[in-house]
Amino acid sequence: MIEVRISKALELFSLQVDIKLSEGSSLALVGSSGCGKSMTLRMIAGLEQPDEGYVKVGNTVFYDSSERIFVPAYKRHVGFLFQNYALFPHLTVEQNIAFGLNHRHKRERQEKVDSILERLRLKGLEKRYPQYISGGQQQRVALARTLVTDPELLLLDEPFSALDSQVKKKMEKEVIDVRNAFSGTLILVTHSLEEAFRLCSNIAVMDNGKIIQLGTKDEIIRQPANRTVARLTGTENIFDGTVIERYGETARLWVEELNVHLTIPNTLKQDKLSLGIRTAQLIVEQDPGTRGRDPENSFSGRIVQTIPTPDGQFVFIQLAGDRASLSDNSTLAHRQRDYDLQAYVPFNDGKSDHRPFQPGDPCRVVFSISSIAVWPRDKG
Amino acid sequence: MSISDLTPLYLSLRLALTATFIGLLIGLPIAWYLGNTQWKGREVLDSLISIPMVLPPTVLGYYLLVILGRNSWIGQLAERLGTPLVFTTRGAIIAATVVSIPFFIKTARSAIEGIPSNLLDAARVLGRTELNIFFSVVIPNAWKGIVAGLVLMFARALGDFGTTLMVSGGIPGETLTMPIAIYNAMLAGDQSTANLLALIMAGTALMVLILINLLNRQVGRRGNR
Repeated sequence: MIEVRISKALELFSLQVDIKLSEGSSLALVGSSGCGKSMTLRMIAGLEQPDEGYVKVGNTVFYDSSERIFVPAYKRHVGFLFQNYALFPHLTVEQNIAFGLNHRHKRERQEKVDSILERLRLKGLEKRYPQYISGGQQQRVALARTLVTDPELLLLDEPFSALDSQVKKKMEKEVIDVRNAFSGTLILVTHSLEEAFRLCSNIAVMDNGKIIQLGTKDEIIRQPANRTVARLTGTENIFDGTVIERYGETARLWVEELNVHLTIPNTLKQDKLSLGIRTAQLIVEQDPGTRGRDPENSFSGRIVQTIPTPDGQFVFIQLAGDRASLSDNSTLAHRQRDYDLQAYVPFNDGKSDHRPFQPGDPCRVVFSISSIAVWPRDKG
Repeated sequence: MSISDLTPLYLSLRLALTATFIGLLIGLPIAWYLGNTQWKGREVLDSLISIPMVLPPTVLGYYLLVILGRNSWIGQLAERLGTPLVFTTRGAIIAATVVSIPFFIKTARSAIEGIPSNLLDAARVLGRTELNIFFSVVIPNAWKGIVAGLVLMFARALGDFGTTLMVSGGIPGETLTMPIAIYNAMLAGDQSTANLLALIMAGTALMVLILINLLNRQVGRRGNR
């Protein structure tokens, strides 16, 4: 069990973090830059001293303000992967990797270094200096240097931000492999939800020095606790609404912004709610007129704008029922954006009637009830 | 004094080398501390150390005389121990050290500060103590700046005139250093001795500059990678 409960006054806000992790699990701290996630990691590693609280890993107390215990970083035996790898430029790859083994016996040291060189495919680079190997190789050396010390807790501080996207994909796979072989606990700090998703089973969303939601990947994506989490986890379509009727499993919600009624899961007691739906969850169909059926939560609209991607397209949709589309120019001028919804439509080449959307195309949008996330509306 | 009498040269070299060595022992820990600490008073400490750079050498010499002289407790203690400070080689070494140490500390400090803090953190989490990090990370990555600082300090110590003269006079064989010897030779109308000694000093200065440039260039090249 890893227990972290620390607070520290920073320049812009005060950091207050409370995390409990079972051994062997993996947690991603996600947040925008400057939210305090790296500072949290540094305090766990002992590189910064909190103002108050405690840090316990297993039975070892690293920090406890009430008992005036502060174990310095060099005694904590925690693995740490730095943002820019922090390889020692004056040491070879081999010497870098052996840096944390200086108290070990010479033979044991050599054996450990050799085995990790093999494992991370660094054979042949032993005598090179870090400046003369590629970014991906540097990353692997940094990983090797940490893993060779057999840490029980591995901390990763934005480990992939300096890599280009191709190397990044490979490295992430590498880390997943290592992760699977590594029995300890892992905490990853990142601003990228995708990274968090690939590497960790739990996600903590941080904002202004506080964890605003901690849960499994699924919970964070499907049940964001508030608007900030929804935004940070990439939910593009967020609206406020008011419950007007409830029937068992579902409820009827009036969304003034879109001028529509929506059927949503009846999971919250509050009447004033916000709802979010991810771009890829929104179903967009062509040719609304030709089909007879009219499923629940389906609305006709018009494509305003499209953005192509290699595997599909983003479409921006204006709903037909929306007041702004009723040629009321004065209302239109006051609106911040000229679309109501944003959706991602993957290309589906198998279908015979496939054709990418063009601006101006009519369409039908379906909010599937199970993919709508709801949370109590923020006050104020 | 004849042209062949190069005692002042040897004396100057010996004094400057000793001062530089003392500067290394005292200055490096200070530079390390200044380069690492978050202590708010660090700039005040740095300013205090830098005072000899801006004070006129004679003024500095005057204060050193006051501090080390027979009327101060330091001077009296030294006298009782049988090692008087003023008007001795020891005094000249102290003067040269005080005058030149800021050059070393400032250069070494900026070299130490130039080491990415990530490297120090990496060494910490890999189990190294601060002292160990000093020798295994700080020195190997900042040695060029440290050596450049030592060379600068040596040059400054070698060329000191005013402070040394005030503290230790110009006793031949004991405190009569090159710059003082040049001054004496000029006063005595011995142009050829003055000429030779001045040439040696100028040559040394040029060599020091070349050495520092070489060191700096290599530091820069490494940084570009």
